Amino acid sequence: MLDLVFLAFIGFILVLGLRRPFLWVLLYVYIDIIAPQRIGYSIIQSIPVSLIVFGAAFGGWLLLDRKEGVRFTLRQGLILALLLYCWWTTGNADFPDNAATKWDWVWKALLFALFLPFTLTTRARLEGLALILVLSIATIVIGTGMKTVLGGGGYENLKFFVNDNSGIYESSTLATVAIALTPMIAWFTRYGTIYKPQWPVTVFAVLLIFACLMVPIGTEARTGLVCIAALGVMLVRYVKQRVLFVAAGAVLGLTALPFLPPSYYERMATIAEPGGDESASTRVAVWSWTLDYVQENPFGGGFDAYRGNKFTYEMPVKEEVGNTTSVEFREVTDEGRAYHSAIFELLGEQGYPGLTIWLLLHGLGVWQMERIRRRWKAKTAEDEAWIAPFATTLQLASLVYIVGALFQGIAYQPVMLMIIGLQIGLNNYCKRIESERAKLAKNERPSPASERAAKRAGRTKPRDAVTA
Amino acid sequence: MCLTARQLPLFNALAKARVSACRYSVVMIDYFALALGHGLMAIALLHLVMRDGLDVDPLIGGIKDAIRQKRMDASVAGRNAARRKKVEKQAGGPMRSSSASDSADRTRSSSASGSAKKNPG
Repeated sequence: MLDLVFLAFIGFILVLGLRRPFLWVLLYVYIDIIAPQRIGYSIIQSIPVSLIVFGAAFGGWLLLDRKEGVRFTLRQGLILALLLYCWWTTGNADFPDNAATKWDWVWKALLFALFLPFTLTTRARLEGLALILVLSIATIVIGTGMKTVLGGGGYENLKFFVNDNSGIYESSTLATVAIALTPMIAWFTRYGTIYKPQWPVTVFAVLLIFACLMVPIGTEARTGLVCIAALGVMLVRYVKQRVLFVAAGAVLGLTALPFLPPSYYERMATIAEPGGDESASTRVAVWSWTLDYVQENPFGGGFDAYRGNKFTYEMPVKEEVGNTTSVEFREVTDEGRAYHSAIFELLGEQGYPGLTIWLLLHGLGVWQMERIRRRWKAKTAEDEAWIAPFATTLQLASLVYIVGALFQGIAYQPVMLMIIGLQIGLNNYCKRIESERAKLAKNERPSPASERAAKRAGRTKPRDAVTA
Repeated sequence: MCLTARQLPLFNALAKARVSACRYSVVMIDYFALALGHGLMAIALLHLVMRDGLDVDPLIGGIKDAIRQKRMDASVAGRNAARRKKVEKQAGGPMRSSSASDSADRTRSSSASGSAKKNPG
């Protein structure tokens, strides 16, 4: 039954796309995020929906789209360079089979990120993509938030639509993406044109932001808490009444404390004491291993190069006998531990060149969004006032993601690559407006020929007057 | 908590009922979230299909139109076209066969031949 509902939805959008092929691009975004073929359990699993819809999206753009204002940008060049570099390292990987498995989804995510900006040529398309991104994440987050509020949360306990701990269905990744998108959700309450800013939109947005904040609590993802704190600090820069914002944040935080379960406090305590938790203490060991590894392999070891690591460290183990608690330091040997950081993931897998490309890709995005924000913030006309706040939401999404990525191996997370696509699309859109305005201004200036004619006319007039 | 032999089956039944109720509510929440998300996406995509500005941006299109208008105003052909339009408007619609447009055409052709004659001299 569920499979039929998914297939009906996909079929409906495919039919709508016959009139507007851009909808196939949005359909691919939905399939890539929610993965209905993994939620369903019968017919849908045997149909390659992702491949069909990607073919439709690319073919529709190639054959039917106007392709007005399409340009290849520097950041798309960086994505292409990263894609080619990853392909090269996969061919020379330390663990060829594992590397091929990861390459299988990474190249698709990078290729789609490369293609996406070509399709984003109008305001409606930019907003449409942002809305489908938000609603796709909302579909996952609404359920997560409701389960948390009704008491079904807990570390590795909260159930999603797909429970294989991969992609967006990994708790820390979902928490990071959900928090990164909260400013964008708020943007729709003021500047949305698909769903006009009215009270139902505001109510839905407030509840959705609340559900997003519930994700780190429900999943007990420490990275999520770090992301909330980072977003709170960054928002101080953008709000008008800063003192009120800080005070409201503190009051809200203190009010929420009594409602949090004890297990949440215990898990969050390990942020300050990483030695007390295996997952946290291995991170430091893996990071130092990666630094040593990259000294010997500056061009990286290909995907999943971490499988070669092995290290021994001491971890405190608490034992409670009656009323006494004893702490004993035991030696723990670990091998094949994942990077737990996008920075070290890139450093180990793609070496210095890969990390440089990735940092440039994200750094340029933050800088471009800042430039757009400054240039367009004074605009008040309805068709321009949305641009600066939209750039701000994309900048905040990038920054929150980078903060989250410091503690998780999510360097090629498709949702964040789509955010990069949106940033490139917005930058292109603003450049096109500026370039057309410059052309208009040039046309409004009198041409040198007309200036000469005007001068001549000025000279001849008095003479004519005399003769007359 | 101590339970008597009679209370124990009842307690177990209640515990089982609670677990199945939890499972049922989790499934219901999932269905609710999926229905809400997909419903909102379907409405949004329907709005987009019917929207004029999806393929051609109104703001950029407006600036392009203004540029085209300026260029028309600046060029001789553009000015002539505008004059023709004005004459047609005054005459109350396209008047290709009317005497007014004929005379306008004649005036234009005579002035053009006049200037052509002047140039070689």
